[in-house]
This record gives sequence, C-alpha cells and structure tokens, in this order.
Amino acid sequence: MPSAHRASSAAAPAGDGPPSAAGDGPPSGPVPIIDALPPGPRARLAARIVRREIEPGTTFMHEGDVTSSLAIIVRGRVALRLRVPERGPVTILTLEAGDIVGWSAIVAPYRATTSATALEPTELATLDAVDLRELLASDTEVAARFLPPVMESVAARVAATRDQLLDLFRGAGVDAW
Amino acid sequence: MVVATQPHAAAVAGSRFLPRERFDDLVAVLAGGGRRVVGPTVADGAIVFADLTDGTALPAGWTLRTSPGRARLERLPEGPGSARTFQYAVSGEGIKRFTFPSRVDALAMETDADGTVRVRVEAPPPEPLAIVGARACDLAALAVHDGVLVGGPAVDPDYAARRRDLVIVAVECAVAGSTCFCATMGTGPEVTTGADLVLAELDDGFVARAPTPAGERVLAALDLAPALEEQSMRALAQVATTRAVMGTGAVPANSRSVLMANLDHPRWDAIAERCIACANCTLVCPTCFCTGLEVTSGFDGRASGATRAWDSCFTEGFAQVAGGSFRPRPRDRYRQWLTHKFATWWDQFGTSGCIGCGRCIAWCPVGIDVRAELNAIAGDVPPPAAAPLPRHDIVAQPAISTEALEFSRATVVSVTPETADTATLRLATDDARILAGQPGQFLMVGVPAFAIPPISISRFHPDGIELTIRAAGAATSFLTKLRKGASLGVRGPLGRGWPVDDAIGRDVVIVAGGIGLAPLRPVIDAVLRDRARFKDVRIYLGARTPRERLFVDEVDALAARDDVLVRTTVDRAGPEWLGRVGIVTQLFKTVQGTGADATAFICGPERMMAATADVLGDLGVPRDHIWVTLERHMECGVGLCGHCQLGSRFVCRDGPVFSVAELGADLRREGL
Repeated sequence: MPSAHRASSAAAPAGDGPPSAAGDGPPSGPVPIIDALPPGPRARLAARIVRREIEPGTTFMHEGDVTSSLAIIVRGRVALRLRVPERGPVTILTLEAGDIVGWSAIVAPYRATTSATALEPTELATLDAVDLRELLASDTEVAARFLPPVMESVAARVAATRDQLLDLFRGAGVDAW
Repeated sequence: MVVATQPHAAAVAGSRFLPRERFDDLVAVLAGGGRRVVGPTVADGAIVFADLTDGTALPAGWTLRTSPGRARLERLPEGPGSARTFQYAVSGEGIKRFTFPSRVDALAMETDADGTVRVRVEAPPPEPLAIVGARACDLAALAVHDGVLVGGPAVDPDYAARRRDLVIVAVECAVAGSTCFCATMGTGPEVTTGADLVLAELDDGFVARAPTPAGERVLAALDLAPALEEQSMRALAQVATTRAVMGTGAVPANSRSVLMANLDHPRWDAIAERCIACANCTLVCPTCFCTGLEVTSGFDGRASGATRAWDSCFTEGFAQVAGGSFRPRPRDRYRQWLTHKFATWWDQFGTSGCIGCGRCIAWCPVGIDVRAELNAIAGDVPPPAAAPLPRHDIVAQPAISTEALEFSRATVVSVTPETADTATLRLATDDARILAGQPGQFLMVGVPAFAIPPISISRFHPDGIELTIRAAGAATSFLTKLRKGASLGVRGPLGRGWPVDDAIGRDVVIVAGGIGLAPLRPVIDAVLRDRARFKDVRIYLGARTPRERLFVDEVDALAARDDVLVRTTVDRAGPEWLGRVGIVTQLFKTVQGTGADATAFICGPERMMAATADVLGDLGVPRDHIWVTLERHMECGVGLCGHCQLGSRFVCRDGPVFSVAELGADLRREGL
C-alpha cells in the first residue's frame, strides 16, 4: 500500500468538452463496489463520494496526468483512449455502470494510463484520490474490503488486454484456402 | 497376448502342396482372364512389389534384416533353404499402394461453354488384381483400411473400386524381423483372415490352403496333390517358431489408456528431440490413410483436376489454418501419430491403428522405436490382466456409395459485400440435401483451378442458401469476387450442426466473434422463426473493429426488437465509435439473468470460445448446454482425409459443433 500522496490532487476534473458539474446528494443509482461492503466501511466511503455529471464528449481524465479521483460509473458509458502517433485517439475499452475509472488514483505513480471520455450522459460517484489514499492507509478495514474488488477489476482488464493483444479475430474462423 | 493357433490348425486340413517348380503355374492361373499379378521382387536394394509374369522375379535367396533405423537385404546362407523366395518378414512398402495408391485422380472440375461449373468424382474402372506375397500384417492393415475407407459413413470411391476384384495370395512368415511385433498386436504371424490363398513356404515348395471360394478355384485349377501331414506339420511348426521368436508383450496391453492419460508426459519432448518430422513412418505405415487434395489447372482455369495424395500428420502444413497450425511443434505431431495409432483409432474405428509390422521402426532414419516409447510412457504403471486384443477382420465389401462426395451445382444469385474482405453469396440450388441442411453445417465449395474450401452456411432459403466468405487465401478471395450468375460446385451439407432444439424452453445465449457470426446466423433465424418456444434471447457480438462487423443492418434490426437483446463490442475503435469496446466476455456483466436455464451457442476463435464458456459456466450455464464450433483443417468433410482430427474426433464429421462437456480438456489442450 503506497503512502498517501497529496501532490497535484485537483478538486475538479479537467475536461476538453462541455464542463461537468458536481451534483448534490447521493448517487442516483447503485455503486456496486461500495454497496457490497459491510456497513462500517461502506458508510465511511459513502460519506466521501462526490456525485459528478459528465456531458457526452467530455474527457475527464487525461493519459499521463496525475489522477485526481477514483470513480465508479453510476450511469452512462465511458471510453478509455490512448493517443497513438499518426492515428489519433484509439478506444481500447469502454466502461459502463458499476465499472471503475481511475484505479491509478490509488496505485503509484498515480498517473492515468489512459484518457477517459464520456460517450453518453454519464454519472460518476467519485472519491478524491488523496483523501482515498489517506483513508486506505489509515483504515485497514476499508483497505481490506475495498482493495480486492479493485484488484479484481484491474486483473480482468489485464486479462482482456492480453486477449486483445493476440488479435484473436484476425484471420479467425477461416481456413487458408 | 493372442494365441491363434487353434483355428489355424483346423485350416490345415485340406491343404495342398505346390512344388517350387510349379510356382509359375500359380502365377499363370492367377493371371487367367487378364488379371494383373503383382508380387515381391528385388529392386534398388529393397524388396519391392512389381508385376509378375512367373516366379523368376521373386526375391529367391534373399532375406531382409531389420532393426531400428536399419533395413538391409542379405543373401541367405548356403544350404537347403537358400532358394526360398519369401524368407523375409516385411517389405518396406507392403501392399498399400495397390489398394490405396499414393496419388490418384479424385476430381475433375470444368467450366462449360455456358459458364456452368461441373465437378465429377473420379474412380478408376475396376482392374482385376492378384497380390502374391502379402503377410498377415498386410492383411490386418487391409482390414483396418476397409474399416476406415469403406466402413462408412463415407466411402472412398477409389479404394472401393480397387478392392472390388482383388485376389490375395498370402504367405505366412517363416522368419520374424527384430522390428516385428504382430504377435503382440494380434495380427499374425498366422494368416487367419483376408486371404484367398495362404502359402507356407518350405524348402522344396509351398503348403497351400484356400480359405475362400476364389482360392479354392485357383487350387482346383492347379490340380495339386494333398499336402503330406509331415509337410503341414513343418509349416505349422515354422510359423509357431516365428511367433515364439517374436514373443508377445512388446507394447503394454493398456497402451490405449496409458497414452490418453499421459498426453502431457515429458517423454513427448524427449521423442521430439530425436524425431526429425520426416514423415517416413507415416509413408511406410500400412494403415496411415491421411490424404490431401492437390488441385492442378490449365492456363485458362476452365478445367482442373484434383489429385488425392498421401499426406502426413508430421508435416507442418497438415494442421494448418489461416491463423496458424494447430500442431506447430514436432512433439504435437508425434503425439498425434502415436496416440492415433494406439489409442484414438479404437474410438474411431473399433480397432488398433497399429498392426505390429514394425516398418515405422526400421524405416525411421533416427531409429525411434514405438515399442520403446510406449513402454517408456507406460513407465511403472502395471499392465492389466492380459486380455486378447480383438482380431482384425476383413469387412464385407459394401456397394460403392459415394453420395457424400458428390457435388451438385449452384448459381450465384447475388453478392453482398459485408466488410472490406468479406462477402455473402446467395446461391440458388435445387439440391434437396443442402436445402434440408441444419444450422452450423457446412459445404465444400469448388470452382475450377482453386482448392476446395469448407464454408459454413450462413442462411437457408426455400430455394437456396447463403455463404459468407472471408478472403483469406486464393480460393476464398476468388469466391468473394464472384458475380451474379456465376456457377459453383457444392458438396454437403456436412458435419453436425447446432442443436437448436436443445434451447427450446430455455434462455438462448448466442456469442459470436468476428466471422463466427456467419455459422450462427441460421441459429438466430431458427430461433426467431419459432420465437415463442424459447425464453429470453441474448446475442453478444464481438468484432476486431467497427468496420469488421458483419450483417450490420440485420444486427441493428435485431437490436430494435423488444424480444431480443443484442450487445456488440469491438476490440478497438477510433473516437467516432460510440459503442462498446472490449472483449466479448465483458459484455456478460452488462446483462443479468443468464444462468442454469440457458443454452449457449458460441462461435469465434478457440481461445475466445474457451474464455466465453468459462464465464458462462461461472454464471451457472451447464457445460452440456454450452455449444461451440471448432475450426480445423478440412479437405474432405466426411472423415476420410484425416486432417481435422482432435483426439478421437473428426471435427468435420463428428462436429464441428460440440458441447463443452463433450470436449472436456481437449478444448484447451495445446497441440492436439
């Protein structure tokens, strides 16, 4: 577990598109990764959630930037994109309700490995990166309960990325005649 | 393991004696009526079967000594038996090339003046033939080939024609080579089946018996004296000595189960270090039957022929498909060969594929000895109580039935481009077999001058079908460029399709990756035709990029229905794509409710299907309700050419659709 890291935590995500807004009140839908926690850790994390509405086309996380928050998608769809020289942005994964955006908020060096752009009107339940790191460092019960599902999500993406690397559909399903 | 002397002793009654000087008469009687007679001769330092006009060309005074990696002709020592003509155990080539030649004309394809393509199955006119000098192992191999090539369900027309008028004069072995182990395999050295006439060579002539009416007619024509009891006893003692010299137990009696339980044994790697994948073992093996089609063409491409040629599972291209080879390493190929001979052949044909002739041992340049390898893999596993292996019996010759190999004509009605390299051909056909085909079945598609690829049927119509083809090689590229009115030869429908009925009353999950949607399209059609008989219908589609999605308008129309759920994802996309990106298994988490009540149909790359089956299994879908379709190299489509084997299965005939429960670990086993 990395120590809490306070550098460059931005209060609001920077975006290319129309501005996004921090909403009031609890998320409008389920936040599975937090809802599934036992009451204590759930309450301590839920109290830190900031609801955020993202307009379609808004890039709210930029590849290489320090990640300002870890978000769980409540509604909508988000594209993770890489910028490839001479090809422009390439979408390598889309995320939907229940998925995590910005796991790099809690894994050093806390820099986003992709950009994240809303494809639809999207609602995020966000946790401030620095605040979350401090909580995970100080509250072992939260850390023990919250980190495994995050790991699971990251591991699934690693596995999926390996399959994509194999370019499975290239030439598949046809014989060499 | 096997003692077969009892029926043999009984057969001796009624034997005749053919003096050596009258062997020419035997050849003359066999040749009566224009029958071709072949037998062993000495040529190029080896014993080679060639045409006989009398007995003078036989290898008199020669023997052949064999050991692992070695076969040498040697002169018989001076003495009473020095004029013997069959005093060796096995020749290098055996009799296979007379019933199953290495190259035969298989198909003639031509385009008529009106543009119609015609494909004709070639079979030779029956040629009466007599083979002299076949051994018990040769006859056992012939019985094995009968089971493979005319035992059904498909019949090889060339083999059937050559088998129809064949007289066999067998010789019981008076010696055994160090590589011989027919006594272990239950195939010899006594000749008990498959011969019309059986000779046992003594110094001064032959004890002859005739197990069949054809053999009896030959003996009657020769008007021979009965064999003396002393001569018959000497003949019996001679073959008994051969048996005793060979001994039994050369390979473990439980080789079949030992091999299948040791598919990952380190010995495979050890063998691969010595094996040079030269394919000699398969070329000298009298039961190897794998073949490939070689297409040749004139310059104008209007007429072409296809030659059926021996192929070998040791070649790199044998298991090749567009994405690579399913057996890239020599260890994979050696394992395929040995497990096929001693294990999976039983599953496929009810016999061993090895008949114990030992040719693969003697003619292996590096001297790999299958007996030693089998014993090494068996290791310390105690063999079960000795039980005789079933004997190989020559099957009755069925009438020639080549229905499964006949092509019919189809005409291109329309061509719809799907992607940059994929097109859908709508074909008109009046072939009732094809029109009655099932979702998941495929056709072999022939046009002159090109190889004949297997193509899945992507839709059925009352008057025709659709084929969705991706241009991967020369033949498929040509097919995707055909125009309306073009003519094709088509053969099928082939294989076992999707069991749509398995999903009646259940949720239906359809998962397709890439062009895998093409063979699943008829399933979607069938389910929607009878929508009320199925519960929830969920379709998950993956493609490499948005531009490589198939049937886009149809999929959009499906997605607009309220009784079908459609989810599409692509592996990567540009910013203009607002749909999902990621692998297809990630789609499942977006939909709740898939579980034990579902039947799943999956088609895509094998790794994608395995991963999808895992996810569905985790969701509770029973493994016997998860169906996949496998891709393998296929040339015949009916289980005759041998390319598509996966363990005991012929993917073309027993599949290509299998349940995940049926495949078990084989779905993931590397190099199988």
